[in-house]
Amino acid sequence: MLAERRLDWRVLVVHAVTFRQARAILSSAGPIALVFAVQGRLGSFGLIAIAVLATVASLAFSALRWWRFSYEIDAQRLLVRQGLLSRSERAVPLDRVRGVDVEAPALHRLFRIAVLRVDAAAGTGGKDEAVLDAVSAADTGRLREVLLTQRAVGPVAAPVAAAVPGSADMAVAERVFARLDPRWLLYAPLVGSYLAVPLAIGGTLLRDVQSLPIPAGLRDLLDVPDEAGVGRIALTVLAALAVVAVGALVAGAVSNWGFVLAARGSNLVAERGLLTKRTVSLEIDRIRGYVLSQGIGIRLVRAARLTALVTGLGDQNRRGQLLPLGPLHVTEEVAASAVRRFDTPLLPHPAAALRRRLVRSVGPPALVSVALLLLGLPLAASILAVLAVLGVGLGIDRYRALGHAADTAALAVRSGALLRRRVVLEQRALVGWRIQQSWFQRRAGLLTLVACVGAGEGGYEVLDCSTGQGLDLVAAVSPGWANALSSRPQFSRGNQLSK
Amino acid sequence: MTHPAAVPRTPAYQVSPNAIGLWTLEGAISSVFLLAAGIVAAVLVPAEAPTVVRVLAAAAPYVAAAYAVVAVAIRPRLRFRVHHWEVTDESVFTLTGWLTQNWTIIPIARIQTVDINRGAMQRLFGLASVAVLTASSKGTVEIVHLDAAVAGAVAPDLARRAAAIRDEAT
Repeated sequence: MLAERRLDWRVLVVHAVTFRQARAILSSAGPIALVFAVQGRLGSFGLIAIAVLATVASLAFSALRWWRFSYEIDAQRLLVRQGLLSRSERAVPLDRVRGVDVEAPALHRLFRIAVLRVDAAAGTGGKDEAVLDAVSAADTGRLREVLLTQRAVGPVAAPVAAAVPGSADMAVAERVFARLDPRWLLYAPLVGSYLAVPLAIGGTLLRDVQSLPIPAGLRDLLDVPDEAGVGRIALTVLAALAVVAVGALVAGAVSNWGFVLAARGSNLVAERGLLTKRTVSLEIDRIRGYVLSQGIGIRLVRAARLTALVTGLGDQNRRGQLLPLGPLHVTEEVAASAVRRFDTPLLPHPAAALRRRLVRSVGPPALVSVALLLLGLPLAASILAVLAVLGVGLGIDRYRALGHAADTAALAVRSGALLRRRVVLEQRALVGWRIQQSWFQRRAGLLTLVACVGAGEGGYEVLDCSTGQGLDLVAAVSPGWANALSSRPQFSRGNQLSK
Repeated sequence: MTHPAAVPRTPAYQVSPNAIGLWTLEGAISSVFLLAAGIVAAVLVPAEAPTVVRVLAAAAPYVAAAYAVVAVAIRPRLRFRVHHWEVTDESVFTLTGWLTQNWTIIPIARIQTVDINRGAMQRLFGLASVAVLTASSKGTVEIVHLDAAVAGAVAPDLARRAAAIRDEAT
C-alpha cells in the first residue's frame, strides 16, 4: 500500500529541457523559428526571446501538470488522478496488472528517475496502461514489487506490503536465463527492423536538407558533377552498404545492449538498452508459449529471435521479447528453460502440400512470363522466367518449413520461408479451433487448421496438413470438447432448444 | 488414430428457414440498385464513346439481370444449405461456406461473452444472430439468422453454462 503522492519533481527539469509540454502546444513554433533564424530575419535578441519564452512556457505547463497529478495504491487498486480543469481518475485493479515496465531514457537516467508503465489486462476500460512519468529510481523498484507482489499474493496479505518500503532491493530469488553476448549484435545488419533505422534516419536527413533554404553556393558544392565511372559507382554503393550495416549494428546495440533475461519471484524480467534503459516484467503464470522467428537473413547464419506469448498483454512483439537476437541453439535453450521444453519432432505435411507451394511460388511468374513472351517482350519474359525458377527453391523451402506436433501439454507449429516461425503453444491457452478447407484443398485431402488463442496474434495456422493429421492434432490437443468434430451429433440441452 | 469419416463432420442444425426470405429480400434490394445503374449506363452512354465503353455499357443491364437471378433465386437457398450450427455438451460448433468451408469450434469453458444481435431486417423476419466471443480475436463464432426464439433460448443458456465452468487459463 502506498499513500497518495506526486511524481518525482526532477521530471520537471527533464520536461523543461526537452520542451515536452511546449512542443505539444506549439508544435510548429520550432521549425518556423529555425527557418527565420536561417534566413537571418530574426535578430539574436528575438531568438533569445523565443527560447526563453518556450522554456518558461514549458516549465509552467510541466509544473501545472505535475501539481495536478497524483497516484496511490490502496488494498486493491492503483489510482491515478490527473487533469488541470477536467479531472480524471483511473483505477487499475491490482489483480489485472499483467506487467510493469520501467523505462529510463538517457536524460531521465541523468536525474536518476524513470518512467513506469503499468500494463493491465483489457476490461479495465479505455486504455490498458497507466503511465507514471516519472518516479525516482529508488521508488521504481519498490513500486514494481508492490504492484507485482500484491497482485500475486492478493490484497489480504498486508504484512508483505508493509515490509516492502524498507527493502527496495528485496532479496527475491533470481535465475538468469540469458545474457546478450555482444558478438550476437553482428547479426543486426541481417534484421529488417534494425536495417530500417539507418535508412529512415538517412531519408529524414535527406528530406530536411532539401527543405532547408540552402544558399546557392553551398548547393553547388553538394551537387558534385559525377564523372560516372563504374568503379566509382561500385565504391559508392559499397560505402553506402557499409554505412547502413554499421547503422543497423548501432541500432541493434542501442536497443539491446546489456540484455538480461531472468526470473525474479513470479516474474520474468528482461532488461536492456544502451541509452534508454528498459525493464519489462512479465508474469510467468500468464506465459502460454513462445514464438521462435527467423527472417531469411538471420536464418542463413543460423540465428533466431524469441518472443513470449502472454495472455492479455498488449504490444506483444516489443514487450514479450525473450531474446532479441542469438544463435539458434542458444535461443532454443532459452525457450526450453524459460518457457517450456518441447522435444517432440514435427510431423511433415503430405506431398500435396508441396504441390500447392510449388503451384503458388512458380505459377504466377511462369504465367506472366509466357504472357509477356506472347506479347513480344522477351527481356521482361526472361526476368520472370528466372523468378519462376527461383520460385521452385522458394516453394520447396516453404514446404520443408511446414510441420506440427503435439506433446502432452502443448502443440508446435512451423511455417514460412522468408520469415520462418516456430510457435509452441500450451494446450490450456486454446480457446477454439478454426478449420478451413477450400475446394482445391478438399480435392487434395488437405485442410488448414487455426489454433485460436487469447495471446499474440490471436491465431496460429497449421497450413495444409492432411485431413487425418488435422483431426488427429485436434483430438490430441483438445480431448473432450473438440470430439464434436468427428463424433456423431450429441443431443444435449442446447440442441433441444432449437427443436 | 484413424477416422471413420476423414473430414470434420457437419453440425446438426440449419439456420431458420426465414433466413431464405431475408437473403432474398437483400438480394432483391441490391439487384434493383444494380439494374437501375446498368440501365442508366446503357441509356446515357454517349454515342461518340470508344467502342469498348459502348459495348460494356450496352451489356451492363444484362449483367445486372443475371446477377439479379442469382441473388434472388439461387444464392439464398445455397446460403441456407451451407450454414450449420450445433451446441454440444462442451462446445459451440459451426460450419459455413460453400467453395471454401469453415468449421469453428469453441469450448463452452472458454466463452467470454454471448451477444444476441437483431438488425432491422432481421426483426422483419423474426430472426436474430448469436455471437460467441472468446479471449482471441480469431476465436469468435457468429451463428447468423436463427429463429428469434431459438436465439433467445440458446444465448442465455450458453452464457449460464460458460459462467458455471469458466476457467481463467486464457
